[in-house]
Amino acid sequence: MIKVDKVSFSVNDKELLHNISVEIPSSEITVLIGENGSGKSSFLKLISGVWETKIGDIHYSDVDFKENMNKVKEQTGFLFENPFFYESLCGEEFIKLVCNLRKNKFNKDKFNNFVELFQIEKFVDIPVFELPKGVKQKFGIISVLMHNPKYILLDEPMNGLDPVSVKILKEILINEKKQGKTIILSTHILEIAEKIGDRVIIIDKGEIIFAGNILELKKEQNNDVLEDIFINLTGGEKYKELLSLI
Amino acid sequence: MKNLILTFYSIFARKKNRNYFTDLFYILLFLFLVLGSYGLNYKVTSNIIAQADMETAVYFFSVFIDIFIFFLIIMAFLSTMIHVFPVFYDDSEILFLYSLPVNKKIIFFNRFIKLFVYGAALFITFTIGAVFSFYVKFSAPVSIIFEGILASIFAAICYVSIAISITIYIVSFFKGKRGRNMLISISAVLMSGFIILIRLARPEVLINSGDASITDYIENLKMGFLSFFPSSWIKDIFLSSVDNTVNSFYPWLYLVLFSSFFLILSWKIWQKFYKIEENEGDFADIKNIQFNINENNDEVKILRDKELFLIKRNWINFQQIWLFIGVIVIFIFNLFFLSKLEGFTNSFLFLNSGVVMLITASFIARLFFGAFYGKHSEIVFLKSLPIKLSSVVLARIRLFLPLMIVLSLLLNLVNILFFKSNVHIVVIFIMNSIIMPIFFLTMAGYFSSIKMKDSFSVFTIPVQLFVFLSGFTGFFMLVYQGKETWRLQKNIINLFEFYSGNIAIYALLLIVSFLFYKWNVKKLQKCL
Repeated sequence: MIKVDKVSFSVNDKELLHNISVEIPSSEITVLIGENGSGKSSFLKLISGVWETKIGDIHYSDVDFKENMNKVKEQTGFLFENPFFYESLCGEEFIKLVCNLRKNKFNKDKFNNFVELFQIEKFVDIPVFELPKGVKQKFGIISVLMHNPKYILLDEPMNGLDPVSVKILKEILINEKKQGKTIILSTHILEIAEKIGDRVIIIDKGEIIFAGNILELKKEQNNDVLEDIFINLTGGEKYKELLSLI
Repeated sequence: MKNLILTFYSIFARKKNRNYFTDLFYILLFLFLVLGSYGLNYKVTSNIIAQADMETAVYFFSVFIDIFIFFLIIMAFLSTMIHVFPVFYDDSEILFLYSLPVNKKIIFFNRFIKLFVYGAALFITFTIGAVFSFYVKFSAPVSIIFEGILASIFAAICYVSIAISITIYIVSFFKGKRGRNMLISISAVLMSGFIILIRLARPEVLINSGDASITDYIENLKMGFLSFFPSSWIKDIFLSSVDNTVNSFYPWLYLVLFSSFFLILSWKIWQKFYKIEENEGDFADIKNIQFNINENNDEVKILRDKELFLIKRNWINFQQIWLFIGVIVIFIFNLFFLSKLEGFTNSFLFLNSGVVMLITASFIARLFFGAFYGKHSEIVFLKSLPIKLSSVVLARIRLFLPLMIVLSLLLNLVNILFFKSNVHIVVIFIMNSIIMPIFFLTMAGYFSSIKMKDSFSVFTIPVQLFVFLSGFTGFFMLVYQGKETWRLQKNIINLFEFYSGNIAIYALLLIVSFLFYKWNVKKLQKCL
C-alpha cells in the first residue's frame, strides 16, 4: 500500500498540489483523472521519488520511502508523460541500458515477448530518433515493465498508441494486477478507468476531490456515466457555460 | 509587416527563462567584445602612428584593417555555415511555418534573418570595435560609425547568403544529415586552418611596440587579392572619411550590388533545391558503433560507458576535435619559435603552458558542454531510477578527467623539454596538469547544470562563464607561478616560500573544485 499524508508541493511559489491525503491499496489498478494541469503528473512524480517535498509524508508499506528512496525506485517502474530516450540508441539498446542501471539482467526472451505483443519487431534496431511517436511509447512501456516492478506508475500510457496496442496494454495491466502489482495510471480516457480501474482518484486544481472505488462513486453520485460524474465534480456550471460558447 | 512580426516572434518569443540577468550578461559580453576589438585596433594603430607620418599611418592602418576584417569575415562565414543546417533543416519551427498560409518568400526571409542574427552578430560587434578605434585615432567624422555598421551589415548579407547557397546545394546533393556532417567538418577544418594562419602571421609583432621591423612586416603582409572581397570595400569606406583620394561611391556600389546579388542567388537556390524532409543518413553511421556495456559494472562505470558510447555515436562531437588542431599547432609553433628567443625563456615557457591550459579548457568548453548541456529531461528520467545522482556527476568526471590530465601532462612535458626547465618548474607543471583539469571539469559540470532547460550554444551564459573563469584563473595562476619562479631563480625567495605559495593555490583550487562538485550534485537533485 502507498499512503500519501497531507502532501503539498510548490514550484516557484506556484502550488501544484495542496494538502493531498490518500491511500492506494496494493494489487489494484488506481486511475488518476483530472483536467490538464490539475496535478496528476506532479502526484506521480512525487510518489515515485522523482520530486521530493518537505510538506507531508509518503509511506510505502514495505519500504521506508524517505530513508531508502532508491529501494522504492528499484521496485518501481515509472513511465513519464513524454518518455525520455537517449535518441541515438535503438529501442533494445535503451532498454538494456535501463536494465543495467537498475542492476537487473536484461532478459532477452521477456523483451522479445513484449516486442511481439506490441508488434514492433521491425523497429527494434532502429535509433529512437527515427521512430514514430507510438512506437517510442511502446518502448517506453516495455522499459517500465522489464524489471518486474512491484509498483507500476504510468503517466498517460495510452498516448499515441493504436487501438490494438491500447487493448493489449489493458490486458497486460490486468495481468500484472493479478500477479499482485500495484498500478497507478493517469489518463484522460475515462473508458479506461471504467474498464480496468478498481479505484479512481479525481484531482482538481491540485486537490483530491474524490478517491475511492469506481462503483461506490457511481452509487454515491447516483449516475452510471463516469464522464458526467467527472464533469459534475470538477465544476458542472462551468461546463454548461463553456457549452453555451459553442 | 507580417514577415517582420513572424521573424521577430520566432527570434525573441521562443527564448525560455528570459530575465534581466541574461539581458545584462549579453550587453556586458557585447561591450567586452567591442572593447576587445577596439583595444586591439587602437594598440596597433598607435604603434603605426608612432612610427610614421599621417599619410603613411593611414596606409598602414588600411592594410591592417583590410586583413583584420578579411579574417573576421572568413571566420564569420565558416561559423555561419555551421548554423545553416539547424536554422534551415533541424528547427521544428520551419514545419510550423509551412503549415501556415504564409508566402514562401516570408519563410525564407524569416530563416535568413534568424541565421543573420546568429552568423553576423559577432562580425558586426568586432567591426564596431575597429570602427571606433579608427574614429578615435584618425579623428574621423562621427558618421563613420554609422557607415561602418551599415557596411558590415551589407558585407554580412553577402557571406550569409553564400553560406545558405552552398549548404542547401550540398545537402540536396548528399541527402540530409550526411551533407550537414560534411559541411561542419569542412568548415571546422578551414577554421582551424585560419587560426594557424593568424598565428603564422605572427601578430605579436604588431603589438610589440617599438619594433623597427613593423614597416617591413606590414609591407609583407599586404595581400593584393583582398581588394576583391567585401572586407576591402568596408576598409575603403573607412578611408574615404579621412583620405580625400579615396572615393566611397564605388565601395558602396559594390557592397550593395554584391549583397543584393548573393541574396537573390540564395533565394533562388533555396527555391530550387530546398526540401524540408531532409533528415535521413545518420542511421548507417550509428549502427557501425556497437552498444557494449558490461552489466556487472557498478553504476558509475555503466553511466561512464553510456556517456562515452553516446558521444561516439554522435558524429558532431568528433567534428569538434578539428577545432583543436589550430590551437595545438599554435602550441607547436611557440615551441619552435619562442623557445629560441633569448631573454624571455621563462615568460614564453609559462605563455606556452597557458596554451596547454587553453587546449584543455576549450576541449571541455566544446566537448563537455556539448555532451552534457541542456539535459534536463535526462536528469528527471535518471531520478526515476535507483541510482545516486552523484554517480552521474562522477561518471562524467571519470570520463573526461584521465584524458584531460594525460593531454596536459604530455603537452607540458614537451614544453619543459623544449624550454629546458629546471626541476621546480617540472614539479609545478606536473601539479598544474593534474589540478587544473580537476578544477576546469568540476566547474564545467556545475555550470552545465545551472541552466539545464536551454539548448547548448557556445554563446550561452554557462559556457561563457566557464570560458571567462577558466581563462582568468589560468592567467593569474601562471602569472603568479612565472613571477615566483623568476624570484626563486634570483634568490629573492627560498624553496619553502616558493612551494608553500604554490601549495596554498593548489589547496584553494581543490577546495573550490570540491564545492563545484557538491553544488553540481545539489543542482541535479533540485532539477524538477
